[in-house]
Amino acid sequence: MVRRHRRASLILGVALVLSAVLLIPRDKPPTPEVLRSPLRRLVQEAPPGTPRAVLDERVSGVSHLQRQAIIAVARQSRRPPLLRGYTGARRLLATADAAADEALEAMATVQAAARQEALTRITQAQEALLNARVVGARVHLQAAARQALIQQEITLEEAQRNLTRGDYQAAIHKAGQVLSGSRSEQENAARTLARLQDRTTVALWRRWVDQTVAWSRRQSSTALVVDKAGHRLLLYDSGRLLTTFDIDLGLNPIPDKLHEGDKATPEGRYRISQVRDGGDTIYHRAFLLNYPNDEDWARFKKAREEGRIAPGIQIGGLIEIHGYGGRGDDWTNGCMALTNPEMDFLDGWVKEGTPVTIVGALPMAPGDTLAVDATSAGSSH
Amino acid sequence: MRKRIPLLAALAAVLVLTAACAEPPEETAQQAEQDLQAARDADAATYAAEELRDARLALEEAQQEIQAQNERFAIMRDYEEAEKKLAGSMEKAHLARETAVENKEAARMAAVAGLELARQAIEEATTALADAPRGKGTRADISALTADLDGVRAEVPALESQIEDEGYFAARDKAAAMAESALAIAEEIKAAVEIEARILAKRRNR
Repeated sequence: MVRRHRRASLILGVALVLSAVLLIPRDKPPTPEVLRSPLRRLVQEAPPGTPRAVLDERVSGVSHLQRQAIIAVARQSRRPPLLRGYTGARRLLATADAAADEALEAMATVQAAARQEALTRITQAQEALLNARVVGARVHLQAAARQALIQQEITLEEAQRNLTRGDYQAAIHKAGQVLSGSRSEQENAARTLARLQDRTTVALWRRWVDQTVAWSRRQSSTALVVDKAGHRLLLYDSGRLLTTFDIDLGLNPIPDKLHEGDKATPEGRYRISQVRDGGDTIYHRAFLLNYPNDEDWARFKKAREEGRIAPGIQIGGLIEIHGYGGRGDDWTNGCMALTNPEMDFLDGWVKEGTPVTIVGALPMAPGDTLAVDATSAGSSH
Repeated sequence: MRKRIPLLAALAAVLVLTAACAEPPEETAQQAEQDLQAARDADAATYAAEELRDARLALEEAQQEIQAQNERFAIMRDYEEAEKKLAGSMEKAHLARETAVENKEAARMAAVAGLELARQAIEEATTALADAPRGKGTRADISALTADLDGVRAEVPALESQIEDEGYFAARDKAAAMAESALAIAEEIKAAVEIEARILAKRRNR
């Protein structure tokens, strides 16, 4: 009886020890909070403004690793507590943590770089816009160019607002648009300016104007000078500048006219070949010029020989000084337009044969003194 | 005592079977995904980013929990925590959707108000231009400022398109920039007119 009791006690003892050993876990699993921390950290600490695609990719990577760690913990639950171990799960969790750290760092770096790029682009765009304005101020900017510049200013303001909101990609895109647009406008204006400052051309224009004014003085007669860049027409009589008028030019006002349809106003020494009143023109009153003259024909033929003018294109004609101007914009096909009252006034001064000298600019550069008034007209030659 | 043994065994068997029959909450998970998609469709990514982020995180954690439970012995599976998380995700997705709708409407109203302000500023500048005396001294300035104002006005259709396409934040920015430009032009017109008036006054005094 005693023996039986002893055996039973022994069995019970062994069973208890075995149970204790088997049921007491040798390792504790990571808590759910710890297991979920990599993804939470990544999602909650991601820099604002991170592109959605970038964040999604990173979330997907970290989520996968975190999921592996959670599954590894769950799989251990199938094993007896004594045999459960979470080293593998911890390793996976550490990998997920590291991936979250790396992702956060990479996203912060990308965002910082994007912010810097946006700042740089905006600064470049501001400079380009300013340069375009400065160069544009020295030439008569066309309405289209002015419109383009003001629209670029609006886009630049939008880019700055994007930057403030942390939308760096939009800021970079918009600043890039402003940069290329402003550079293009600046180049156009600079080309115009370069032509207006070309020494040989300027000297030629100076000579034309001086000769015209001298002719007016010698003949005690009227002569007209047109300054295309200044958009003005100067009325001389007996070598004296009487008055100036603002004028509208062709849609392509800066270059010299070369052929029909180029919307440019010709440069050269012309004469009024016909005075047309209201019955002969739709423009209130018109003074027809003798364009093309011999020099125009020579330039046209040369350009055609050089292939700069397509076959079938003619030299054009019907260049007039006419009414319905005063719009403050260039809208004609190459003519020069004044207001109707100004045309009425001018009609009292001009006649067939009155010289009309058209130059690109007058004066052209600081310190340049062209014969624009009576004093200098008298002292020219 | 002997009579109770079969009863206890039967009870234990029922418990075991019940536990063994625990199924993953697939329908709820699908519903949670649909709710999240509804929030996305309501542009929550733009107008309720934080709420959408929380909903998405809760769904991700619920899915991880379901997968973890799937890895356990069938008898030991318990999807209660996953269901709780799914319920949380759905609640957050609803919040994200509602917030997005509210914020989007607020952004739309702000953009429309911005368009109206820009139009008013353009109108004021247009009136100032029309009233400005076009003398010899101001004609060039006025024509240049007219071109500038035309440039601002030409942006109105683009702004309207942005509002139509529901790009309200971008529209609000553009409207503010346009209004600023138009106001600056109006100021320049005033300055040009004042200079002209001063020149005329000087001439009269001579």
